[in-house]
Amino acid sequence: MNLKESQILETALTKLFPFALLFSGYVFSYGGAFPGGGFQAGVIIGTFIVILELVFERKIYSNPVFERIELTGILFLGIALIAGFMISGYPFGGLYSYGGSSYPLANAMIWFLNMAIFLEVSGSMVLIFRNFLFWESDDTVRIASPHLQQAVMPQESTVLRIPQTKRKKEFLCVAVIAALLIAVSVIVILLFMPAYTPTVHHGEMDVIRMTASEYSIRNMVSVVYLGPRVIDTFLEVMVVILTVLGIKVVRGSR
Amino acid sequence: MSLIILAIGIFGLITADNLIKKIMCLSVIENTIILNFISSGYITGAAAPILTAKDIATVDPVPQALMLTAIVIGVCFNSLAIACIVKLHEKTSTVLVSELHEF
Amino acid sequence: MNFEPLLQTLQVEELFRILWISYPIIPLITMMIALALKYLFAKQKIIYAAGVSLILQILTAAAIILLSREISGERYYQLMDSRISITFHYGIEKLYFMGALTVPMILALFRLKSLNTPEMYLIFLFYLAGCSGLIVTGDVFNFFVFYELMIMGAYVLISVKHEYSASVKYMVFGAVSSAIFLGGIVVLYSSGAYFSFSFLYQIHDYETYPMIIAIYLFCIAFFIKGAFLPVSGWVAPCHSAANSLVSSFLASYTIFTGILGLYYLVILPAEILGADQLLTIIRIISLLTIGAASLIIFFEREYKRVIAASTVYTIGIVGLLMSHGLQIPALWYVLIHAPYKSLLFYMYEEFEDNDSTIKASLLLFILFGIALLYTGGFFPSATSTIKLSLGSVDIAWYKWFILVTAGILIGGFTKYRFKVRARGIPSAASITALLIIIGYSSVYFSSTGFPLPSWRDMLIEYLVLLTAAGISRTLYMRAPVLHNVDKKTIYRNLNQELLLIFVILITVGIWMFFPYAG
Repeated sequence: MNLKESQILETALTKLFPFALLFSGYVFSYGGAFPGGGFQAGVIIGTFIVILELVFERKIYSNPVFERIELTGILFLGIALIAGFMISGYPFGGLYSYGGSSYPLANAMIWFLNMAIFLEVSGSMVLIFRNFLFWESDDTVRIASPHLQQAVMPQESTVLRIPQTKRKKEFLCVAVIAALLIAVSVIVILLFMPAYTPTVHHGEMDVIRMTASEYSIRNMVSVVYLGPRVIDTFLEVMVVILTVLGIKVVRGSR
Repeated sequence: MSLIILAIGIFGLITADNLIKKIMCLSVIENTIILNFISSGYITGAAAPILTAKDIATVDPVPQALMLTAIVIGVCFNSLAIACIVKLHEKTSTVLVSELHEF
Repeated sequence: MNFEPLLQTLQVEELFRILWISYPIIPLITMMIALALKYLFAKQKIIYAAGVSLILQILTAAAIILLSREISGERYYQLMDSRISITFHYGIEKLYFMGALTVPMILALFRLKSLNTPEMYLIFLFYLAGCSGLIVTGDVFNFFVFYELMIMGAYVLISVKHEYSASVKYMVFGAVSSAIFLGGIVVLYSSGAYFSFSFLYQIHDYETYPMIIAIYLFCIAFFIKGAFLPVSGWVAPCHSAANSLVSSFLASYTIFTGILGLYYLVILPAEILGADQLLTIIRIISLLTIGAASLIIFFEREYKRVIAASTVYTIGIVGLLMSHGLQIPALWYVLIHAPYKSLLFYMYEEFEDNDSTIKASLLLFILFGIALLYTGGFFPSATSTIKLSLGSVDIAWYKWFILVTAGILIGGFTKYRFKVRARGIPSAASITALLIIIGYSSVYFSSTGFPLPSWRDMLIEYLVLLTAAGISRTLYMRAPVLHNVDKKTIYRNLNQELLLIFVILITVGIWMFFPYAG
């Protein structure tokens, strides 16, 4: 299907773009109070840009624009990390230590971190998908799909491939054994293993709720992932950047 | 329920010939675990973890926060793996395990 | 100069805490500065950033090791005062892994240019951050995230030389083990505990049955990460696909994170809980791993793969020692193995290797032989502890089993035709690695951890070892039938290996949960 000739899609997406921008801005800026946050907002706007590029089959902004957006997010996170280290001796410390700093600062920090994550994730989402969209060159759309691509190197492929029929028997054997084992183990687990009810952490939930109400941050999820687990969130952002760089390296190597 | 999805994922992972299908099965398994984690923090009749004026019981916010991390890592892994598989296809013109010497 | 006022103002505890926490953050901060330089000012200075980060981390590690004399016992550093908070954990055992990581870091300073593009340096920095974070962390979920950071860097670093199949294979196994690990975390949380290591060691406070499921899942995950028996096949192709800089990191540190996790998350809680069946499982699988690794090395044809596969042998011995409660010799073995394996990888780069004939200078061969005899098959601490007494148990056949497998291993290393080249001296990296080996082992002997056996015993054992090596070498050279074994039997296809993972999951599960079955 040629998406490029569809007038409806083009017009509709062009008209919807400002609304998507508005929505993602809302999701990140109210991440402290309502469901949402930097990741969700970044994914919303990033996916929208990817859809636009799929339809128009060209780049809306050049790569360096998104690289800079991403970088700004990283630098904000870095500033927060070092500042926290300077203030309290822990990375990202002093945001809202449970029973400590003042509440306007905590709210501002949540907003700041959400914005950093929003910038970073939206930039990287576009960059990751763009690599697959413009796999062969940066100018023309060539979707990276192993089965659709016809360009192969004949000399190498004959050396590296082995005929499929040769190993078909082995694979069938593995499949049969696997099916039997999985069926048996499911039955055994259902019949013989005693079930246990997961413990609910009521005590810690009360602590989180108290902290949230103390600083008037209404979204308790963001109290957790920007609070005591903030380094996990930071590292996860690092993994995203690593992926962007990694796909660039893998794709670019000839 | 999640046990059945897990069994389907494991079966697909072991038997699939196509590498991309293998990666998809891996993400099925990972999503099963994420589903399990979130349901372990679920309390029947409780609200979403948003603070409201009334004092209503809410579900555990910790699994939700952690699984956000796990989901993003899963997405990153999938895209990196698929990039590598596309390169492998460019080199050998196949993505089937049964046709590759190295596997 | 008078340092006393400085020392008084900076309290040792506080300084140590700051150093310990900032250890994994150094590469990330350097990466951010380098990225800013690259995109904002368009200056390609990333190689210097990588070098600076390496030097800073080496210095930090040295300072931590020096300061650790003043610190006694374990430390838990909580980010915030909450039970779900991220925790950093210090214990004296972690310094061994830090030492093992510092060795390839020092050697990497010599070969930093072999990573070509600026992006590769950035990925290398991420990889370093993941590596060092695994040492520092004291939190199960944080361990998972650091592990992912490290392993995703490794996937990209492996594919430098266009070996995408190795990279994909590594990815599949890494993802399977990570999924099992994540499942363990889920079960751990639903047993009532939180994520810090300290909750695992207060195991009796929580429900025992889900706790055991969690430990069992961790155990399987680290079996795969550490390449214990049923899945040891991936190590050789995956580790040898990269260039020698990355290979030395992978072989001397990354695979031992499996041991790190096995020690902190499986063996220690299992000992507290008294789950002896788990230790028996680890013992049996380690023994099988030792045997299988020596056979893999014996049949493997490519030399770099031989070097990579010999790591599995070490993993087996370390697992065996740990399951018998001998942590200190096991950790010393990990520490001394690091420069030895890096030395082999760096030396391989200087060899001329074409189809089972290896050319190098005489000096290099002598160095190589010393390294091989000293550490590869016969590292004194491990074998002497196994021989003298295994804690309370005294098992004589362990000694002969290890000697014979070590003989097969050395036979596998020497089964090639060696030719002496006229010129050439060993590179600076190799000599540094040798110096580090000597330094570490002299520290080991001066600290008198475990006594050496008598000279007569040692001579007999060396003779047995060399005879076994000689026999296996001649066997390989005389029988051309053996040359094709590696393609047919050692490397099963991917689906079979995945099936084996599932089989080991079920077997260990039945063994462990038989008492609990209703």
